[in-house]
Amino acid sequence: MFDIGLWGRFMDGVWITLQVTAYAALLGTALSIVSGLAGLSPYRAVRWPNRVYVDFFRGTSAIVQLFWIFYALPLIGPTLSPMVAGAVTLGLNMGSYGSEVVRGAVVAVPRGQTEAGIALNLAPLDRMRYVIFPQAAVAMLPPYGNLLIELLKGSALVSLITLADITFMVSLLRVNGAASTVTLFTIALILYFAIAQAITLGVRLLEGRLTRGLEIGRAAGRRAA
Amino acid sequence: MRNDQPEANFLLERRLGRRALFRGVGLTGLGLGGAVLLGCNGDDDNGDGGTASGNTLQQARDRGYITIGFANEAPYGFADESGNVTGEAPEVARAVLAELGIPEIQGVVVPFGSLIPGLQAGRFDIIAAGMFINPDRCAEILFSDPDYCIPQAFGVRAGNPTGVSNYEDVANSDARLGVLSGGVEEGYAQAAGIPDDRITRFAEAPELAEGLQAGRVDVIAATSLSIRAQLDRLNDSSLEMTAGFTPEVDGVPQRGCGGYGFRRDDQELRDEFNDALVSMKQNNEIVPITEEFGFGETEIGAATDVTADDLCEA
Repeated sequence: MFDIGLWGRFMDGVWITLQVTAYAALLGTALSIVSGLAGLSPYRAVRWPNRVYVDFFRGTSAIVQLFWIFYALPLIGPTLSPMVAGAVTLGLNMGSYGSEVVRGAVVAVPRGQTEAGIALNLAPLDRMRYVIFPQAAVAMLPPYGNLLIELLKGSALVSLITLADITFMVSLLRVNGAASTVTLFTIALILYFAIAQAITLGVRLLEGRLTRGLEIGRAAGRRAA
Repeated sequence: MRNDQPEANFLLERRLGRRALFRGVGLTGLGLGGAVLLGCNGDDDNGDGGTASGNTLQQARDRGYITIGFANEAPYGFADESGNVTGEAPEVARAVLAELGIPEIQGVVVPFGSLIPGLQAGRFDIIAAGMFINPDRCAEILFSDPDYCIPQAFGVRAGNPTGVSNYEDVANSDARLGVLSGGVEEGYAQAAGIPDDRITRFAEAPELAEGLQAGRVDVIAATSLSIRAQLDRLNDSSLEMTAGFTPEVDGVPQRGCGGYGFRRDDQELRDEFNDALVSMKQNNEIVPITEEFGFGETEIGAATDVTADDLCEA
């Protein structure tokens, strides 16, 4: 019922799922920070385009975006490979949600921290880099972990644009009767769960690292966790 | 104890570690994000093999391979246990393309309903999924002549409790029908007057059969070979298939004949492919390739004198 060949196919699927998730997470994280800070910009010319980005990607269906990039974009523009199309779509999506996480966490840092930064004569950019952001980052982490797990599970969408991820392997293996439907879907559930647990652990470790020596952060970290 | 640590200590030591970490994460994110975006140039091995420029034939000859799209529907086109593309349509296409000087095929699996959009978007160059040729599809893409014709059949629960043997019977009962999304069966069902709320569309053939098994629908419709392949796979004595039949739309029998699909600007590829296919049909070379998938003289012979034009104008 469960031979080496089947196992190998699933491991190929896990590798693709991990790749898509990792690329999308990196793009999504970078976009979250850039877009979250852009949302706090005093300049309307920065805030408004950012608003459009966040609302568009949060407000439209991810699978429609994916199909649009994969099937429609080539008719009017460049043809992105399946991996790029998948990672970019999922990354843009994650960034639009992460943007609000970053913005909310920065706003939540007590006003006194900003005033202290001003008192120390730090420039606005330095204030953000050295005082505000490190404290905000601790509060960002728990919702960021949520986003990463959402991303992992959402990565199953790429099975519809020819990428051979875990979900794709299930539908492939169902056709030739290699194993029963119950077996195949159960394996897929376990694999996703295992990867999600690894992500949860990773975020916990990062939380511990960022909180060390940061009194306000420790409190914030404890509250959020 | 910790509260006694001077603030300066925090600024000098802790901050550096954290800062380096932030900078590392940020730069890696930006760098790899950029690499993914640029990666579309280097990542050219699968799914990106199609081109929409009209000289697909020459490019495929130069590269030594061509990409075909299939829908993971046994026995027409599916992946075997090691992931290689096989089935009636891919194997015949493989033989035809070898004649054209293209030794290798690479397969791309998409849901059945995405075959035509995927071809038009250049995700692959040929549809090799046993796709039926009909006027609606001819308006979108080019077809080769068919290499097989086949009746429809239903998959039902053992003993056929709803007593259906064609689409009109389904319309006159209260049975729920399952079809493949984007397949011809959907159109047959609507033409027979089956209301939409009794039609369930499944994305792939395995889901169709499992929908019947799980009791989500009472009847599933597909080609007789497709139904047989799915029921064989499930090996469930509580399911059976009905006798094959030719559906009618407005009193006109609908021949179900499958061929190969090409983009409209790939006329040259289509013509050369078709010439080689037709000569294989005339030399009786199709049956030996396809009999392992359950195709015999009945299915292949029925397509001998049928052309794509006949079916496009139907």
